[in-house]
Amino acid sequence: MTVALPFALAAALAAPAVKPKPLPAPRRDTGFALTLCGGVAAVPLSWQAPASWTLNAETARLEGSQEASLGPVAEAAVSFRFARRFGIAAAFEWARRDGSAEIEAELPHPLYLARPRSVRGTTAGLGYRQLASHLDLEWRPVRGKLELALFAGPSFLRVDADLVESVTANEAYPYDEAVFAAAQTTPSRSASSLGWNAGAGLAGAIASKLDLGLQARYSRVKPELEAPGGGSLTLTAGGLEITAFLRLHF
Amino acid sequence: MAWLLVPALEAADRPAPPDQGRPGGGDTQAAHVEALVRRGSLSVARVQDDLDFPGRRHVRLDQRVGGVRVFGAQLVQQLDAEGRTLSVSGSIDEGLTLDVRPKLTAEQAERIALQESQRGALALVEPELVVRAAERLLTWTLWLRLDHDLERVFVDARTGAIVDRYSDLRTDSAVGLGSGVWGDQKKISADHVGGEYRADDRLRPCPLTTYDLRFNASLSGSALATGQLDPAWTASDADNSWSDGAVVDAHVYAGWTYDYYFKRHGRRGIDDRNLAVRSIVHPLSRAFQFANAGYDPFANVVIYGDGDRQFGPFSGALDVVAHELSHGVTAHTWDGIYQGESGALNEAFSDIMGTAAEFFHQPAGTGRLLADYFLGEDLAYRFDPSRTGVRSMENPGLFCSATLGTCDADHYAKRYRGIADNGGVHHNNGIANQAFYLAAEGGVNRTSGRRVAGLGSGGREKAEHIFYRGFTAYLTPSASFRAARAATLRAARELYGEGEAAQIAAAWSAVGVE
Repeated sequence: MTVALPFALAAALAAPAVKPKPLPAPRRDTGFALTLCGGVAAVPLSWQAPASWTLNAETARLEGSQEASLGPVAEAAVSFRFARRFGIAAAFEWARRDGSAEIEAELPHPLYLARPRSVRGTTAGLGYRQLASHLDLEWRPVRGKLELALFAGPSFLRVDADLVESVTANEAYPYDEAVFAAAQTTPSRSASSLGWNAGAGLAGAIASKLDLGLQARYSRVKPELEAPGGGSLTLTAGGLEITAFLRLHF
Repeated sequence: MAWLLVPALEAADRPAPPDQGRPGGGDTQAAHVEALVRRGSLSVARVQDDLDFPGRRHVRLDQRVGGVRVFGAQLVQQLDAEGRTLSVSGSIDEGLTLDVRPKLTAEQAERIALQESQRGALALVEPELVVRAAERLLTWTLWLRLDHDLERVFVDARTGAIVDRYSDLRTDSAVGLGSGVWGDQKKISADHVGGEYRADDRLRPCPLTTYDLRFNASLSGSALATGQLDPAWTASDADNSWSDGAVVDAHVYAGWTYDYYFKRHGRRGIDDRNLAVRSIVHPLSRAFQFANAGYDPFANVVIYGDGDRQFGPFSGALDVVAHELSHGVTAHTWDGIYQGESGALNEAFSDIMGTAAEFFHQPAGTGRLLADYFLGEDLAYRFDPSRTGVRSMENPGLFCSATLGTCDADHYAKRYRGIADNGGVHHNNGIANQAFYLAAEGGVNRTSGRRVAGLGSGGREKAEHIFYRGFTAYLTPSASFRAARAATLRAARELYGEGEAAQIAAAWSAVGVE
């Protein structure tokens, strides 16, 4: 369903209502192309982020349901068509999302052992960035001025994410209850990993060497971040990205 | 620069006993302070009652220039009950003059402070305009919450420059871990001073300090004679992992007793006004075999002996600690005369509250550090409550005194009538203890054979409320057992109704008090 939209838009682009003098369909058997994309990371990412720290001479724990919402994506790709319908492409991508977290924490009592207080809260403004490079094999059939692309290949992705590290609470004597006050985050944690991506694009020629199109790319990479307080946490990064692009052929 | 340096009078630094104040000692200073207040150079910041010496007050006066507070410049005026000045301490710069019209608004200063701080900084309160005396600067000051810090920032109110910033995260309150007399782990609320941890609780509303007299009898004598405890005697630990069981239990159980009174009865400490709780451990050489604990109402201290061959340190039992502190509660409420029946009731109230605090904090059961109706059962090295406990509320006659030649009374007919032990205050208390037990749990009095159904589900908690209210609200210093019956009946009717009052009446009747 999400992939249908770019195709429809591309079709509309390719068939304008008024077309005084149609361009001849370009013939592109082989050659290089440079593609510049801009768009959105279209589906939020979420993951569980546990953390522990020392508080009141005991271990405090939290379970954070972190989410990285929609955000901007930019991509640059170099492709080479080595046969009439096949090519390879190397794409470099940058994406940023706004992060938030729902937090449940157990905070040790300051006066009594093994008598934790539960607090719940939310926090926003958590940073999330990803840098990815994709190497894809493309199947690129051309129909008149339209060019379809289906591609897939390995991805290498680096994530920089703020993680909830601890929480502070408002409390007063006798300290049997605490109220969530704020969440503290780690300095951005980074991790890289290999995964895969696949997608499709549809472009229409708007000049002899220039195409305009839409692309949907889904990537899936599972980097392991160092969890606050020790251990690691795995998040599923990447996700679906919808971008518009300009492609310049050489 | 004309500094007014006001040396503190003796009374300000080292509080004298209540009757040794020196009224009028600061007359000249008082007149000067009053003149400064009239000129607007000083304004009252806070008035605090002196919890150590009732009637006295401490008035804190902020210095102001053109109505703007001078940061950190304050005088403290100590007044007696008649409003006479006993002392003035602190320092201000009387020659300080400054244009106090800021060029920056509070909002601009806040924006600057945030811009100059790490991402995510949060301004906590409205900036306050203050004068920094040392630099002769007008500044806006505000607190910023950072990731792991609380920072105080000063912004020049004319130029917008950051004049000063420092971490204002108070690290003085420190939660540590301690090992009690019997090796049990518990949290200890300490104070972090000069690189060491001191048994000075900063988390509870009342000052709660434990002093380690290091087996020095002369220090103990001095402390009890004058009521003055040198802060240097405060028990300390290098790493906040406390291993002196006597210190740990005295300090922790005093806090737990405060918590019991606060949570169960809404009471704020010994005098209901957060009077300091002061505990002394290791008061005498172990050679003395000091196997006892006591509350001294004059000095307002609880003193715990280190025990003997049979008993360990006397702070090692929660019911004992709560018992002693409850004597303080009595002293600040009905103040039962420590002799005869009123003395026995005084002891009984402490036994009842000590046991109640034990049930409040420890799981019920038979074993060390479990709650039961024995008193002091956790003191002995060999845990055998029916032999090595101090008293029993369930069966007072279990414990007998060779000195008095009698066992603890569980019935009015068996009361000790001699003069020893102030008229048997530690023996006849068994009568009221048994009445409380029968009301709380139900049962049969062994002497009268009368059965009491008791207050049923939640009976102990009801009995605690009834006896606490009856004793603290209605008893008078020379109260008798009959008066205690009437007081607790009245409290039961007020708190619960006729059904509960009938059980209280039955409990007293079972122990022969009509």
